[in-house]
Amino acid sequence: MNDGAVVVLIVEDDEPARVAIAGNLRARGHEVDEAGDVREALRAWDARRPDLILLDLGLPDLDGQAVIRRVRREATTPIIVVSARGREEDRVAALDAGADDYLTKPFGLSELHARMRAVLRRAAGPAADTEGCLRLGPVTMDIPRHEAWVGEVRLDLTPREWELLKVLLSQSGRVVTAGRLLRAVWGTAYSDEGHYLHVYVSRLRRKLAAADPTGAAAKLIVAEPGVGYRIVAE
Amino acid sequence: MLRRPNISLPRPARPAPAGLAVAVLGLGLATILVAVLQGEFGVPDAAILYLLPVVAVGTGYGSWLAVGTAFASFMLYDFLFIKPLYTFAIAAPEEWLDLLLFLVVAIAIGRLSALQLQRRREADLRTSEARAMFSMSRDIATAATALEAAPLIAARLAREASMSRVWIGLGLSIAEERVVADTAPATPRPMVTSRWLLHSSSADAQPTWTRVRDMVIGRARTRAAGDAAPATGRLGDPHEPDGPLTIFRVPIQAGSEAIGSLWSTRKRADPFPGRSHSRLMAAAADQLGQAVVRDRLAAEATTAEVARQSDALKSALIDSVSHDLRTPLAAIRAAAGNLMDPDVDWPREESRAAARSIDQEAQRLSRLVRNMLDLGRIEGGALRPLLELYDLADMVDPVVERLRPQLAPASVELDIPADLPAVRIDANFADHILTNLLENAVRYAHGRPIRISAAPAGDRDVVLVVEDGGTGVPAAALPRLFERFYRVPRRSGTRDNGGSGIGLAVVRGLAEAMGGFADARLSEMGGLAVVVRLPAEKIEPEAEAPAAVAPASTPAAPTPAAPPPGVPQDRDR
Repeated sequence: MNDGAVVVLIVEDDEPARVAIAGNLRARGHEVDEAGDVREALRAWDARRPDLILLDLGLPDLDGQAVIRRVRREATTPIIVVSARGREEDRVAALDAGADDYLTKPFGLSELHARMRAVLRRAAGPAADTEGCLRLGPVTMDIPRHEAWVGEVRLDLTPREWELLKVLLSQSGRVVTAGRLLRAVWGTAYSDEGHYLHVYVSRLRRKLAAADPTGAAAKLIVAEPGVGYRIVAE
Repeated sequence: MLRRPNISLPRPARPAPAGLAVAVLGLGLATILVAVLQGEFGVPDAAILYLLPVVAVGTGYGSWLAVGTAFASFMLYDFLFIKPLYTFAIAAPEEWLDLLLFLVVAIAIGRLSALQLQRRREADLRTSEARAMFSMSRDIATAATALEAAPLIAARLAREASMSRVWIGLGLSIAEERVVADTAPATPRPMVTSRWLLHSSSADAQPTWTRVRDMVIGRARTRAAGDAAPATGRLGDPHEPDGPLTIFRVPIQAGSEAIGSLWSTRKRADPFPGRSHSRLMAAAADQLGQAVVRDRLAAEATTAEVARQSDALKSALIDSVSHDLRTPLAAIRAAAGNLMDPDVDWPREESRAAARSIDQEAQRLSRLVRNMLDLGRIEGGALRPLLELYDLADMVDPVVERLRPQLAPASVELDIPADLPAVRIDANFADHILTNLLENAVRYAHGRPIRISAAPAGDRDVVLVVEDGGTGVPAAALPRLFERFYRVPRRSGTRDNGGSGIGLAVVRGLAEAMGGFADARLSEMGGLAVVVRLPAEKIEPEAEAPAAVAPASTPAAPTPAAPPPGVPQDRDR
């Protein structure tokens, strides 16, 4: 990682996996604290506020959610949760509780590095710049003027597409769960109507693609099957 | 309450007064006839005519009345026709003999005809009993379980054995019994402190009743599951709405083990159950016992069959995947061994390649494990899809992107129309289906192109087709492709392509879990075409004004404006 060394807390009860990941992060110049359960994790959190937490949800003593709740009471430190496949509901709960991203076991180290870069970048910069504009790659949303652009092309968005893009951009790099998107765009009554969301995202993506001949804008919105969406520039 | 069970005496079918009337009428007619025959036509001895009312009364009203009629005709003939007339005295000694002979014959004939009546009544009873028993057997045979049969049996018994109420309790002791059927479920069951118990080793033996009295067992019975109404009625309770009741219990046995009771009540004013009704009750208890035994055997057989199939599945799974599991493991161990070898100093590029190989093989293992887990969930019925509407292209594109390195050198052609209806799918299932289909296609494509296409099918479906220009499979193998562990027989001279026989079974299982289906045909491209049918919905285009003319919303309060068309507007109703 080029943009500076950080302090990472790895909470993982499977020792070989924890040692391998910690070794890799140390080799890349980060400082690493290790914890095998929730108790150790909270102790490490109190001892030295890390810059990033990599949290396995299946821990021997308590649910990993306990760590998210405690950390979120005190700080906005980025949290990436790790869970096994087929436990989508755990992931959604963790993301809704305040986690920033998730990884599915087994994952590659390059994937881990990419996610870490994304959440750290988000944690470093404000969501909107001083002019009230949200920017990511070629996409710019001018909130005060209510205009959205891809490069030099102005997007013709419906109110819901506008809201969708705004929520995703203001949380760029983070996974936004389907439930949160629906609540933000359609209101609380629609938090369970997950199915319309995907069709609207698909339309928004098509408009982005039409405005950008390079194809980069269409790939900004990434689906996280069973969980939600994120907007991320890689 | 000293009541003697009258089970050995069949009750008269018709009341005695009618028999008496028939006897009087018959005797009168016979007297007139005898008078006419002897007086007018000079027939010497017409006494035999008196036998007619005896036979009539005997066949219609039983033995005692027939014997009475015989005596009455003897007296009448003596009084009216034997000299000296109008006295019971007999003048001629030889007439004595005639008259005695007549009496003996009359009594014998009366008894005989009465016996015939009894036979007929017994036959009738037997017939109705047999009919009732047959109906009960049919109830038991057609009901799936003893629990299902119990209410039918109870209702039939109440009707056929003239019981005011029948209920069936199952349990190892009376206190533990759980009522599974009751012909009057709303009325509290009477407190059972005193009852008649039926003894019968089998349904055919002569049933006998004995009186049983115990202290208080009624309270325990009312605690039984599903029995909310407290039992307030008491045996002989004058406040009982139907008057005092007689309670009968027939034990239900499975083999020699007591498993419950058949309870029934009659008003105490009604007669005690006869032999036929007692036999019916014994037979009902017997049949219920056998039904419970049958249920147990069926349950054991099912468990055994499930265990057998599960064992067969496990061994087939192990057979099928052991090779697939070992191959990547062997590669991983070889590569790791190379890296660990202290005697060799690998160049940097070589060790990277070894690590890459470990990573790739681990991914292969991971996919296999995922398929195995999904197959287990499909078999166990544990798949719970999260169905949502998606644009199919959104599902297909990322999977193709992700797999592109593995698909090379085969080229992938995509043909998914933009105006395709939205599909209602679980995103993870769909991803897994397409991953399996693409891996399968590339395995057989041998570098030739792969095509992914989609089209609407009818109003409610979309078909996704993944086909390849490879060598395909023999047409005979098509119907079996989706069977788990089925592998297309290898053509001689070709090498094993490494399929585990799981992928397509998982594809079909996942498709079915989403309300769709998967099938295979031969592709015009030369290879195999797998067709996955998925449920779809047409969504009307968004009828909203462009954002530019809409009022700007504050970032803190997202616009919960009017929902778009197609989104239900009254979810909370």
